[in-house]
Amino acid sequence: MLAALSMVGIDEVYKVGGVQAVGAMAYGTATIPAVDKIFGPGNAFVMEAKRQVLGTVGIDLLPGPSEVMIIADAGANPQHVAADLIAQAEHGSGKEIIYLATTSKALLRKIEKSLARQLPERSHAAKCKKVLKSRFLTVICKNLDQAAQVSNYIAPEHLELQVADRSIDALTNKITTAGAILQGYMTPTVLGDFTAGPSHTLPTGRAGRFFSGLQATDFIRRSSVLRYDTKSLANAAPVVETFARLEKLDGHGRSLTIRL
Amino acid sequence: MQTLEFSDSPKFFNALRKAETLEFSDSPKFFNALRKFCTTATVSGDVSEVVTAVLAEVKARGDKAVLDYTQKFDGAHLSAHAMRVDPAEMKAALKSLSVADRKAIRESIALVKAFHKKTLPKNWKAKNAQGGIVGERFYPIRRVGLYVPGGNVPLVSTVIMTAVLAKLVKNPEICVCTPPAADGSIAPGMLAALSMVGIDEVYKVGGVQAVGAMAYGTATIPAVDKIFGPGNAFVMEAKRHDCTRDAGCAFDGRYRRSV
Repeated sequence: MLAALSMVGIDEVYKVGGVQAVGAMAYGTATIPAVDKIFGPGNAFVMEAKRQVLGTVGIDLLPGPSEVMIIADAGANPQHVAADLIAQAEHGSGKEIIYLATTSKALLRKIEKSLARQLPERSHAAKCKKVLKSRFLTVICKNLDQAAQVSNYIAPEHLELQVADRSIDALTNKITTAGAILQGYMTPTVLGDFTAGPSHTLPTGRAGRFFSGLQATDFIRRSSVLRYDTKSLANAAPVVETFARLEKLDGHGRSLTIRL
Repeated sequence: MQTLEFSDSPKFFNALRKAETLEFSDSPKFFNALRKFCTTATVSGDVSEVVTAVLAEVKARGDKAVLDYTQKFDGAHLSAHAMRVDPAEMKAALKSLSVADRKAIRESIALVKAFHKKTLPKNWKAKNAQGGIVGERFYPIRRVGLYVPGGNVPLVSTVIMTAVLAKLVKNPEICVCTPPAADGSIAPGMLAALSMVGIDEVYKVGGVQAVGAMAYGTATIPAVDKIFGPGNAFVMEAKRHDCTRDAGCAFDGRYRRSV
């Protein structure tokens, strides 16, 4: 981890974790100067700490346990789907959540068989089994429209569209809440996890309805800029006077008219 | 914020002068004094407790709790049905404005719309170095709730500065909550502005109970995905409290005034 931090060019690193880390960054201590905004995932305690310091500092999204949803049509390869489900279950917290929406009951049976075959080969088999047993929901859909509706409700962190090429665009156009959309049979979630480009810090737990994945602009803030002259000021006068009157703020109105 | 008790004495005015004039120096002493003057977002224990209690009630009892608090805090006795502003009420409010007032509001709407049109992000797609296609897509949030503070005067500008943005990006559902006067009415100027922006789902609910209703949903007010708009310390604390809890609502920042 230190090597990765160094390669990115970070040299201010503190050995502090948990709620105390969030508190130190929010309020500042003699050793750790207060920050303006806090980013990054963490367990339930870290997330609650971020929520409580919101207002004192800014926060990014509040990422929780990882999720994947796979929408698979009859043409999906059951072994590939099973491998992606296991990869999701492997994360390690035991709180990962997995959704599968499929239009093919036959595929579902094949996926189940494939899971049973592949699981014993994985080094974290016991852990994965637990997640797949208790935190795995399958939804049978009549068509991809229904699958899109389910996905828009769940707002999954990762959404794999394991559907035929010809269906990808139409299905993507119906998705409005997913963190990352992975399109087609050859695009497993792991690409987004490790390399493709977009940040893998994505909203979870239905927060995708109002949060988006981390982006460079989350580290930026902006100001609006206004500049009028005598002429444009005069143009604005009637509107400003109306609002000042409606809102009974004559001082507001006067601050314009005094300049005319 | 420093608090001084007024007395018509040199002592008071000396203290006032001391409090309000700082000479800049690049020193910890100066910035400490500056920090003292700036209000922080820290909320006093009282506010936090009240907000937590009201939100819990709204979550548990829905419309009934909302109506109880509307009576308690706003003095208005409403039925669940009467919380939603009637289309006829909107229409009448629009007629109550003069032609000149409507023209001014229209001009403001057009300017705000034109400004924000320039800020909208565009979908994009590009090939990365591995040959994979990556990109971004943008969508309007499905259902948003706008909070507009109440009071004796209609905050027409607050309506425009929030609702026009939502209409611009075409959120499929936009609802507005604003506190009623004791007689159960909403300032006609505000209803007129809402009507001119094209909003037709307006509830006579204010304060923490409005934030709770929009976050958790009630039989009358369906839950929203994100809450916008200014408000007093209680409303702000309610928004912070709801941030990603349960129904979850994102917090959209600071405001130009509290009412």
